[in-house]
Amino acid sequence: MKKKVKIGTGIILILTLIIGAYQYDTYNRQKTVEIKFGVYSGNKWKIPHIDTYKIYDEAIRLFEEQYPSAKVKVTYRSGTLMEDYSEWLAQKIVKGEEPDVFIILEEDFNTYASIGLFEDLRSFMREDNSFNQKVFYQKALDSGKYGHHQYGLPMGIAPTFMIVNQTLLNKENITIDKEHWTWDAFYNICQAATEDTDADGMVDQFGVYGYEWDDAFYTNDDMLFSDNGLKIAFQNEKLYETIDFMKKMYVLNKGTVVKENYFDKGYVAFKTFSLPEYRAYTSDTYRLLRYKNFEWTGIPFPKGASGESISRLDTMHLGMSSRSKNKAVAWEFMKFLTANPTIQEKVWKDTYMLPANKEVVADIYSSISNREDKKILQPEFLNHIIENSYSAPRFKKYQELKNILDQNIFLIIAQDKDIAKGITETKRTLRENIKQ
Amino acid sequence: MVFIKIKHILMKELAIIYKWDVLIMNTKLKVKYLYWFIYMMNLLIIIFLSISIYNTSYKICEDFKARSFLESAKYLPLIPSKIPLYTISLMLILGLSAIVKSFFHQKNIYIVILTILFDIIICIYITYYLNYSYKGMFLFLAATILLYVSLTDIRMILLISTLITYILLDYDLLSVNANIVSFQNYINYYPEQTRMYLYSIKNILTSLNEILFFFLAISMLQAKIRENKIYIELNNQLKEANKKLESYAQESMQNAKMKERNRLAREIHDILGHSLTSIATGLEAVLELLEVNFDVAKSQLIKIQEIAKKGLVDVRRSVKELKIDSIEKYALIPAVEKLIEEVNQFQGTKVTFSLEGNVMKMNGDEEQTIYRVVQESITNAIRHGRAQHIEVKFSFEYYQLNIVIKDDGIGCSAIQKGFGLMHMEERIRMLDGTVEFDSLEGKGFTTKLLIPIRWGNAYD
Repeated sequence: MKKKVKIGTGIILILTLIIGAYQYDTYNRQKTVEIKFGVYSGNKWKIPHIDTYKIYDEAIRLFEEQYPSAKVKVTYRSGTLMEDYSEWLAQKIVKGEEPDVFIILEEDFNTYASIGLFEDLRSFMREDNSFNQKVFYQKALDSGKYGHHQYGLPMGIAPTFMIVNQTLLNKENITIDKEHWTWDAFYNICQAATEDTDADGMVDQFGVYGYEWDDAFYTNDDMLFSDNGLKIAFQNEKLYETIDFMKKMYVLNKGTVVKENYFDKGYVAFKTFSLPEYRAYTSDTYRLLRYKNFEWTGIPFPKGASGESISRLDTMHLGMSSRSKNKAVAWEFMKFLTANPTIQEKVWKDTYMLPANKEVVADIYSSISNREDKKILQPEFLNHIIENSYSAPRFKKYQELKNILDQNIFLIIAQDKDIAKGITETKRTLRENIKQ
Repeated sequence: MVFIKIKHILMKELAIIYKWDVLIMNTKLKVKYLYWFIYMMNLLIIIFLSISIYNTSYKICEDFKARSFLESAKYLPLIPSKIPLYTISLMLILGLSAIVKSFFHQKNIYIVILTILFDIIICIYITYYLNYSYKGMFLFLAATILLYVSLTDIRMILLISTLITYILLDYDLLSVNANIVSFQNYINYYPEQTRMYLYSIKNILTSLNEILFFFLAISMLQAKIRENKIYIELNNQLKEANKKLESYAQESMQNAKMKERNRLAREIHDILGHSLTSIATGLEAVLELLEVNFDVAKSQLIKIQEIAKKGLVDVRRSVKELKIDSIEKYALIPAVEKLIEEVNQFQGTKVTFSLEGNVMKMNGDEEQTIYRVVQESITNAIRHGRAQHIEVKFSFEYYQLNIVIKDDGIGCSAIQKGFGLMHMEERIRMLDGTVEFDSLEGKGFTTKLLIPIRWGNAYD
C-alpha cells in the first residue's frame, strides 16, 4: 500500500513536471519574441545625414509584417552617436544585455571576435536554404570573417577610388595607360599636370588631392599590423618605398597646400573618394551643379613597385550576439537587412553606402539615370574596385597607431628627414604604444 | 564469587569499549564540525567573489571603462547578474548533497558515490561561473570523499578524479581554449590600493579554507591513529582480562574438585555411616543375644550380614556414580519405603511412613537429595537419639514437598550441627529448599524439610 502511494506520487510529480514544461514552452512560443538591435547614428566619413533611422524603422516594419499576429518585435535605442557606440555596446556586453543583432564597428571587430561575442553565422548560412551568400560582394562577406568563422554579414559597403579630371588631362594632352597604372605613371601625370598656369610664381594646377601615404602603402604592401594589433607587420623597405614616393609627390607642389575646392574648380587632376563621400559630394542636396565645368571618370589607385592596384573597402557589418536567446529570429532579421532586395535598395537610397547585395547594385545601375552615380556604378569599374580592395585594420588601437604613423610620416616628408631613420623611430614609438 | 569477578571484568571491558566509542564519536564530531566549517568558508568565499565580480562589472560601466575592460579581458565576461545567483545556488545544492550523504553514508554507498559525481559537476559549474578564479570547493569535495567514502579503492578513484578535475580547471591552462575572464581582470580594474585590499581578502579567505582542510585532514589522521592506539590498548586490556578469566577458571576447577571431594565424603558418610551404624547397633544386640538365645542371635547376624552386603552394594554404586558421574534413577517413594523396611527388619526402632497428596515426579538430583536426607535423618535418630519410634511423613503440595521426620529419641537442648546436619542443610539449600531442626532434651528430634519442586514434568 505504502509503495503504491509512493509510486503514485512519483508518477503525478513527473506528469506535473512534463505538463508544466510543455505549458511553459507553449507560453514561450506564444510570447512575443523581442529582437534588440544595436545601431548608431553618424558615420565614419562625417557626412551629415538627416534621418539615420529611416532605413531601420522601415526595415523593422517590413520585417515585423512578415510575422503575423505581432509575434516578433524589433527594438533599438536611438540617439547613440557613433563616437559613443563602442562604449555603449561594451557596457551592454559587460552587463550581459547586449542587443541580439548590432552594427559592428571596425575598431571593435577583432576584439569582440576574439572574446567570442559574435555568433558564428556559418551554420545559419549553410542550413538556411533561402540564403544565398553569392548575392554578396565576396570581399565584403570575407571581411566579416575572423579566422574560419563568419562573424559579420555585410549590409552596406563603401569602396574607395579616385576620380580623374578628364578635361584637365585632355587640355594637357595627357593619356592614362590603364594597363600600366603604376606609381611612376601616376607621378608622371601629376608632374605633367602640376603647373603655374598664370605664371605668378605659385603652382595653381595640381596633380592630386587627398592621396595619403596609406593609400600608397597598400598598393605596395599587404598589412601594417597583425590582426590583433599586437605586432607591426609592415616591411621596412616597402614603407620606405611608399614614403619615398610620397616625398616625390609632395615636392611637386613646391609647398603649396592643395585645397579641396581646387578640384571642384577643375585645378586638380585626381581626387580620392570613398563612395559615401562621392555620393554626398555629387548629390543635389549639398552642391548643385558640382563639377559642371569638367568631365570626370573613376579610376583605381595606381600600383606600387611590389603591390597591386588596390584600395580600401569599408564594410558595415551586422553581428549577432552569441548569447542571444532568439538566434533563429535574429538570423532572419540579419538576413532581411543584408540580403533582402527591398532593404538593400534602401541602403542605396537612405544611406550613402553601396548595398552589399551586388544583384541589387546591378538593378540600381540599370534603373537609375543620375549621371554621377552611373559613372561609379558602372559594373566593370565598380567590381574591379571592390575585387581589388583591402579592409583597414580592425583592432581598437588602430586609430591611435595610425595617428602616430600619420604624424611621423608627415614629418619625414615635410621636414625631409632621413626615411630609414624615420621608420626606425616610428617603429619604436609604435611598439611603445602597443605595449601600453 | 568467581562469577561476580568475571562479571566485573566484563563490565570493565564494556566500559573501555564505551569510552573508546565516545572518544571516536568526539573526534568524528570534531571532524564533522570542521567539515561544515569548510563548507561555510567556501560559501563565504563564493559570495565574496561573485558579488565582487557583480559590483565591479557595474562599476566599470558607470565609469565608462567597459570598452577598455573588454580589451584587457580578452574573453567575453559572464553575465554579472547571473554569477551570484548561480554560484550561490549551486553552493547550496552542494550543501544539500552533503546532507544527503550524511544520511546515506552508512546505508547506501552507491547513493554516496553518485552524489559525489554529481558534486564534481556542480563544482565544475561553480568554477566556471567564477571565471575559474576559485577552485577551493574542490577541497570541500575532497573532505566529503574522505569523510563519507570508506572503501579505500573507491575513495582513491574519487580523490584522483577530483584532483584531475581540479588541475584541468586551471585558468592558465584553460584560457588557451576557453573563453574566460579571470577574477584578476576584474580586480585589475581597481586602483592599486583597492586591488591590494580585494586581493588580500581573497587570499586570506582562500588560505583559511586551505588551513581548515588541512586541519580536517590532520584530525582525521589523528582520529585514525587514536583509534589504532585505543584498539591496541583495548586489546591489551582484553588479554589481561582473559588471563584473569583463565586463573578464575583454574580456581573454579579447584572448587569443583573440592566440591566433588565433599560429595565423596558425604556419600561415604551417608552410605557407610548408615550401614556401619546398623551393623554396629545390630552387633551390640547380637552380643547380648548370644548369651540368651543363640539362634535368634544367629538370625540377627544373618540380617547384619545382609546390611553389610547392602552397604557394600551401596558403596559400589556410589563409586560407580563417581566414576561415570551419573545418578542411577530411583523412584523416590519405593526407595524410601525400602529403606524404612530395611530399618524395621532388624532394629528395635520402629519407622512409620505416611504419604499425603499427589506424588510428583522429581528430577534425579532432587530425588537423590531427599533420599539421602531421609536416610541421614533416620541414621541420626537411631545413632544419636536412640529412638524407638520414627515417623516419616511426606506431603506433596503444589510444586512443593514437605517432609517431617520425627523421632522419640533423647533429643538435645542445643543442637550441635555436626558434619551430617551441615551437609544436609547444604544439600537442601542447593535445591532452594529449607530445613528446620527442632529438639528438646528428652523430647526427641524433629527435622522439617520444605523442598520446592522444579517446574517441568512434575505431573506427568
